[in-house]
Amino acid sequence: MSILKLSNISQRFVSGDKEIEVLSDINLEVNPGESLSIVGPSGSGKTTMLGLCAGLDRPTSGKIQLAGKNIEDLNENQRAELRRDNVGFVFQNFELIPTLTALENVSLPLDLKGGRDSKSIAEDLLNKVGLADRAHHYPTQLSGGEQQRVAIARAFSNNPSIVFADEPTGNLDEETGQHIEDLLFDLNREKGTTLILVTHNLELANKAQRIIELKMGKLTRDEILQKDTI
Amino acid sequence: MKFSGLFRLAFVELNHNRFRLFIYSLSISIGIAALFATGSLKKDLITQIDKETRSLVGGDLVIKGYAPISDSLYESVINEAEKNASEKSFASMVVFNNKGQTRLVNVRAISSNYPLIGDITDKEGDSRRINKEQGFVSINQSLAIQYDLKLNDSLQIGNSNFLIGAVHSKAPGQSGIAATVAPTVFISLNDLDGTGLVRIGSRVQRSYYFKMKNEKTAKAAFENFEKLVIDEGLRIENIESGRQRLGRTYKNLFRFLNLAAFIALIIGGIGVGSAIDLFLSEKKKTVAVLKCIGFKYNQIATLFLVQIVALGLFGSLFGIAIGLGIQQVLPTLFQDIFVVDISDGFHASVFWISILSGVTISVLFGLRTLIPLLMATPMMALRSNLESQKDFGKINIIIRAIQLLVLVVITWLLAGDLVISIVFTGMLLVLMLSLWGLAVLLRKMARKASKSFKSFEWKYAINSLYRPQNQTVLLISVIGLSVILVLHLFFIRSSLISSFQLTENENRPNLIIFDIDKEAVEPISNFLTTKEATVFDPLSIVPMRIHQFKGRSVYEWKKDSTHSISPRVFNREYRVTERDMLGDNEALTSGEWVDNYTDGIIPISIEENFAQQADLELGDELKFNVFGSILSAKISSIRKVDFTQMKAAFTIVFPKGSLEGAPVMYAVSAHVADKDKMMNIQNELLDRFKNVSVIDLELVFESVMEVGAKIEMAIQFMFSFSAFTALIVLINTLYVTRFQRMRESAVLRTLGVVSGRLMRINIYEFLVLGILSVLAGVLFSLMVTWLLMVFLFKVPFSPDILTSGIILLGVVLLVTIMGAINSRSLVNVSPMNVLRGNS
Repeated sequence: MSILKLSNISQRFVSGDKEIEVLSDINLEVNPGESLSIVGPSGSGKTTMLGLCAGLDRPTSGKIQLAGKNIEDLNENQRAELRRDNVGFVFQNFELIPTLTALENVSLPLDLKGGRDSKSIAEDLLNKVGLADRAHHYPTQLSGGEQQRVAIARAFSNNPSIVFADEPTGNLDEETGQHIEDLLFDLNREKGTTLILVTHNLELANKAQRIIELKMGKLTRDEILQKDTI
Repeated sequence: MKFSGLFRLAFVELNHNRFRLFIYSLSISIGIAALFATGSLKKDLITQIDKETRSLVGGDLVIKGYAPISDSLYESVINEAEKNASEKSFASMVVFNNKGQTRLVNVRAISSNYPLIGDITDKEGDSRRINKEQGFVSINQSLAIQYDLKLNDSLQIGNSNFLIGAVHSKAPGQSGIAATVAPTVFISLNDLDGTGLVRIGSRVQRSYYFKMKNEKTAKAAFENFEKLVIDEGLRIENIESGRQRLGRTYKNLFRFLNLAAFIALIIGGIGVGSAIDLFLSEKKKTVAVLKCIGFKYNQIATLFLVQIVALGLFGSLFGIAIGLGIQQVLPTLFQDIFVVDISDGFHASVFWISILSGVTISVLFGLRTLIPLLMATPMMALRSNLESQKDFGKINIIIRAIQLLVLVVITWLLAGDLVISIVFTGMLLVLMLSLWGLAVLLRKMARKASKSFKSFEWKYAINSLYRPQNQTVLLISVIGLSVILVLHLFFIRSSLISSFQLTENENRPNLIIFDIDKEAVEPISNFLTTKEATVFDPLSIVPMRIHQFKGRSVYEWKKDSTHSISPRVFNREYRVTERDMLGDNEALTSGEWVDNYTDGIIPISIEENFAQQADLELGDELKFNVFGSILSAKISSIRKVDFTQMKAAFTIVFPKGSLEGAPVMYAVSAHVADKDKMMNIQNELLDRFKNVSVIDLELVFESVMEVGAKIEMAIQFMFSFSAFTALIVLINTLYVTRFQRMRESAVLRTLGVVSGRLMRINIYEFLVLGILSVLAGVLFSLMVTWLLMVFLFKVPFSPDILTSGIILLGVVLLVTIMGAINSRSLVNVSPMNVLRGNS
């Protein structure tokens, strides 16, 4: 059974007095444990699609099934619960909570779930991303790469079924970006989570098992790159 | 996530932002301080009045009036009392023999065991001496200070000479205000007849004090005698009714104090709301990320509400601490108005109400930003420039309605009257909206004007008023409101004073002689003429009281609680005159003037304010008791009286010929052009005509102005809270925009602008802000005061330009200086540090 299924998804926005179609009739199925890259030029609808897949927004038409639930049938609180239990996020701008330490940021999704061992799990994850000694530092005290590593640890802390990453290396230099990419895919393989990432970086995109391309809101390419772990 | 987890998270956020939130919370501190101080003062006063009611009332049962009590009634009450005392009091002139000066005083002739309860507090000598030995008086210390009087100095009251046997500082039931206008002189009741001042027609208040065996007897006596007393045209009071009367006396004062404090709190609330708006607007991304992680509405709401509540709590606690300090000052400011000495106490109820008010105001003004924030789409975490597609129009309207409703409820609790609270809140809303609109307009005009400026500094400074987080319009409005509150009083006072100018106008009297027998009218008029005074027509005065009002007895009206006519209408003694024509200062507003009376029911003319207070109309019938004779009268006309002309003004005028046979006293008014002669004329008059009373109107006017000044100071003190709050809102804005200003400064310096020039830009910005604020306040104040003077007080509008100018200049300077101080630290910051975000 697929972890994510999009059926005839279209997304339209009203801008002024015009209606703009950002996504048009998208169909997609993603299997558990799969890694998928979404590529396309600016304005092709990649981020919109990511947001819909993650349940951050409702589609104008069509159906989305995430972890067995139809997103369009859920209200905002129900979608929040779905995200809490099944989804991890990595943002382009890291988006750590500035008033929480690295450790607190990582344990936040666990605390939200009501987990008892949140602190030890968070420490473990920080160790995995190589930041055990920075656990009590605030985001402003960390470099960009370090912040993104904390963000990755946070994304995996609630043991999600699926992790969404939006341009995870977009704000990082090449070398740091490389490390982040490796970390992301290592954790993805280790945990067996599904990974869906949006990127402009073709080198990164090609590291995934599957790649889809959007052009002007339409799915123009869907290609398996690596067969072995699907 | 458990509530405790959310709470902990909220406190982590709070701790991280504690300094900022503390600065923001200061906005409501001053308002809370004012509320706490006035609430405590009210409680202290009520507590003290409760403790001292018996001594303030003067006995378990007190009967008062201008007519003497009948012997039978008096005997009946005496039989049930344990002890009794009596008093006769009236206004009269006293001549200080050693000084050759005169003064209007309140003469109180007391029996030997007065006061029954409480004490006359003596500074020098012993007031009890006046009833032990003949010919002694006890004077109020204000007289001793003003005229440098000592024990055994002599003074003359009417026909009698007295020696000063004591100087007292306080007597039961006496307020400082009363002592300022007509200070008390106690004499013995036994010495009263010798003065020759109490004659038929003299205005003398009689008080009879009774101490009963116990509370039960006192209550029974009150119930038994109430109707009999009222039927005799007197009024009766016991401890309970005395307590209620005293409470009513100060009700309006505390209503005013509470509402003045509330204005400061509202300004603070606006400031807090604006600060919370800025604070929460930075949290949009955080909210979006939390939603991505899986936080629900209620969890996010709790997170931020805890911070808003904490903000309200900080502000309230700090405000209460300030309020405890103000509590020491307030009683001194109002001491002259109170009849008791206030000692400050801590009242738990006031404490909790202050806390609740502060928290409520914070939440109320924070709602407007919080609710749309909760609606922020999680997609914002992916796209920062994404605006919510939701329409907040309806939500904003609902929030505004809730805010308005809560404000009305709070003012209702403070003012104790729903109508007053609705009107007050409505007026405040209209005022703030108008100020807001005016602020927007002024800012636009400034910008338009700046386009023609050549100076880069001025142009940039004025454009800075449009900086997004500057809150320029808010600042102009709140500073403008403070300016309005302060200026208003100055404008009103100066207009009223100039309309009452006496000396330059020989058509206005500045001397009044009253309690004149018919035979003495001509000699007195001739005497004044020889002294080159302009003498006006003498006036006949007949004292009377209401016997029946619109067909019902006074007793029935007093027992009826369904009407809103003041008890004073039924209690007071009316001094009426008879005339065949309207006075120069009068004009008929309705009905027909009857100049001469022949027979039947007497057609009378009443003054329009009195008609309104007493709810009287043309055709209403009244019966008057004139020393036992009952006169039937009907209202045939209503007059408007111009009181600013300072001529004799009568509430009720009878037609000529209708008061034949009634005991009449006369009053003669005159204008003495040479002020230096005034004192001599008064002394000579009292020497030759010992039974009359003389009033120097200018002296009275000065006393009233002195009282007015005290009251004005107290009012200004209350309004100063609003001014301080506006200052704190300004400080808040400076703090909030600090980083933005630093970045701008860094960019300008990178472009080549030197520190000095940067400094000037900042100073000019605040100078313009100060000027616009003051302009908004002045325009409003001038307009509203003009309307009040012309249409309500009906006097010419004459603002005190000099004092107002100094105040306004002070405000502009203060705002500019604050901006300059803030700018000093900004212009010297390293541009690189700022641009890197290391500030």
